Amino acid sequence: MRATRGLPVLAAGALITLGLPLIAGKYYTELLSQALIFGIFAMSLDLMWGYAGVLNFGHAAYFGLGGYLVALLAREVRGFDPSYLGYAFSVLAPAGLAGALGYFLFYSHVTGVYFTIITLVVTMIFQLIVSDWYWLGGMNGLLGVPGFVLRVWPGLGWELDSEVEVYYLLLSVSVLCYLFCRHVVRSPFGLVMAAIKDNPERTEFFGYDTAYLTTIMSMISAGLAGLSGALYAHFSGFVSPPLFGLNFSTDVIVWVAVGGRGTLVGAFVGAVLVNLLKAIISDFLEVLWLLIVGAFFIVTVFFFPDGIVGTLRKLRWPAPRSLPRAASMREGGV
Amino acid sequence: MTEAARRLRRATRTTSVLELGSLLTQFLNGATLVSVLILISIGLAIIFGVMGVINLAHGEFFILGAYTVIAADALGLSAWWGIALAPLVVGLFGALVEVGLIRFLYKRPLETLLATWGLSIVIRQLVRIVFGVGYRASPHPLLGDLKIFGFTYPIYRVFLMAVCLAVIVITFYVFYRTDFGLKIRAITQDVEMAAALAINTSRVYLGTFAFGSALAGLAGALMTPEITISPEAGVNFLARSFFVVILGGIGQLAGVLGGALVVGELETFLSYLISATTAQAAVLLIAIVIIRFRPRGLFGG
Repeated sequence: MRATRGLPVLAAGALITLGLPLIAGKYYTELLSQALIFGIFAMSLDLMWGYAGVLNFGHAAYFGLGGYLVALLAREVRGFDPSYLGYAFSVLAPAGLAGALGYFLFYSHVTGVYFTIITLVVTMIFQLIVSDWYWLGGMNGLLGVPGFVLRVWPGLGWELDSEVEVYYLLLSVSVLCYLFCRHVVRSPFGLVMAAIKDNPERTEFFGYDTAYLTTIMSMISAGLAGLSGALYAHFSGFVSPPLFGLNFSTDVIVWVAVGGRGTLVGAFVGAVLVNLLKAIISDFLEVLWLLIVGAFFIVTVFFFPDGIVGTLRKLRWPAPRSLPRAASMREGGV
Repeated sequence: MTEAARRLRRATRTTSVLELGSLLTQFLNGATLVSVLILISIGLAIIFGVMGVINLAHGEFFILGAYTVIAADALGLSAWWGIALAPLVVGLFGALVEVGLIRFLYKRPLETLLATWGLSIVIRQLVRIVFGVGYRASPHPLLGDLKIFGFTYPIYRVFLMAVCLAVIVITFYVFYRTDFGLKIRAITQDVEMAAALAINTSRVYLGTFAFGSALAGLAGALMTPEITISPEAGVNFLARSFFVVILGGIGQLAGVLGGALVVGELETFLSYLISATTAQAAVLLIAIVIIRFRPRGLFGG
């Protein structure tokens, strides 16, 4: 029922996303490509925030780690070309970091807001180190990351040099990532995560190892964030300390909140809309942009907790009245 | 704060050739940082412990205190006026924030966190608009050195530690010897029960938040001669003071003192060995490891 109703929306969405680079100029196509990368990044945050109920305030640490790894490989390994090795590293290393953090935090029952604060500090640690160590480029960052190459066999591949090609590549990667995330949240594992989000004590009582499962989820989320960081490094050609910054961590939270957390698609909607808005507003009101971001935070918390996609879904498929709402919902979530 | 740490390092290198003297200087430099951390963290710990509110704008309250001194200077008032006015200004501001924002978000920690983070972004940007981007210097209220047994130390830092001590005494007195403190402790234990016993909880919350904000403002004002002031300086202190609170154990006033001692002294001594920035990162890393093994804080039961 739901699938057939959603079909026109899906078709329209596909048409728009496929056709956009044909009507948008070079500038907006590149802007959209970047927004897609940010969308993957936002979706990885949504996996944790929307589906595990744990907000990572330092999600940029994973993004930055992925990006820096690719940039370092490009600098250190002679004749490095953007093969799949870089991507593998940039997925595995953040996942490993998330695993370590999970061991240190989830296993000590440090969850909720405490986790959020500590992740905030983790990304600060990275930013401090990266901007301080000369080997990592310092404040200037690392330049000269090669562009995208589609490689089918060692030595056989073609470089994507036009912005339209890059856009379509990123679009297909985004779709794959989305399908992957959708699979994760709908799998039995995802259902247990939903249970943990709703009531961790009871889920543990049922015999699930909540610390272990939450750690796995955060590793998936971190790996995806690392991948988006690697894509960004190839896309923009350089990485710099602000990728680890609190502002960037803040931005991604805004994207997810505006788009609607716990929806996956919302992450892309939020990332695209907010970045378009930023590009338009920053042109003539540079000073006001941060004020608007701050206001976004407060307004979404008070008036708009479901975000765009969440609100639209509620309008389209209102929740049945007879169903009692979960206790955690009444108290305003985690 | 990196600038302050750098200054601390410079101070240690130029002072005494004697090993013992330099060690003492190190310790005192650490004590200065500890004092400041206590001043900021006590406010944070009270708000956190009593109201369950995570105030991510606490660092911005700190820099508002610092900019109060700069504003007072621009108006032709001395730095002492600035330091005296800062707790009042920031405390009043905190009260406004409580009434306008925090009040609607009790018992919703994550929402409070987001809302206060939004507030901190707005404050930071407003400060940039009003006072300009980049670093500001402020007049030094108390130059000179204190000389004891041939050992010299900047007199302002001694003053800083004295103020911190006074604030600790006052806070503990308020908490454990006054009616207001009794109400605060009752609410911390059980809000519903306290409300049933005719304690006006919202008024106590308002007072608590204003008091905590005022302390952050005071800390900021006192630190103006020691650090280079910029709109971004707050975040740095925020992170460290959160670690102080978590390390000390939530809901314990005395834990703040212990947490600040660990973070402050560790950072000062490490920044003597490695670069100030790396030292700061190392301390935060060590704190995370400690939390793994003592999740209730170093001094928690």
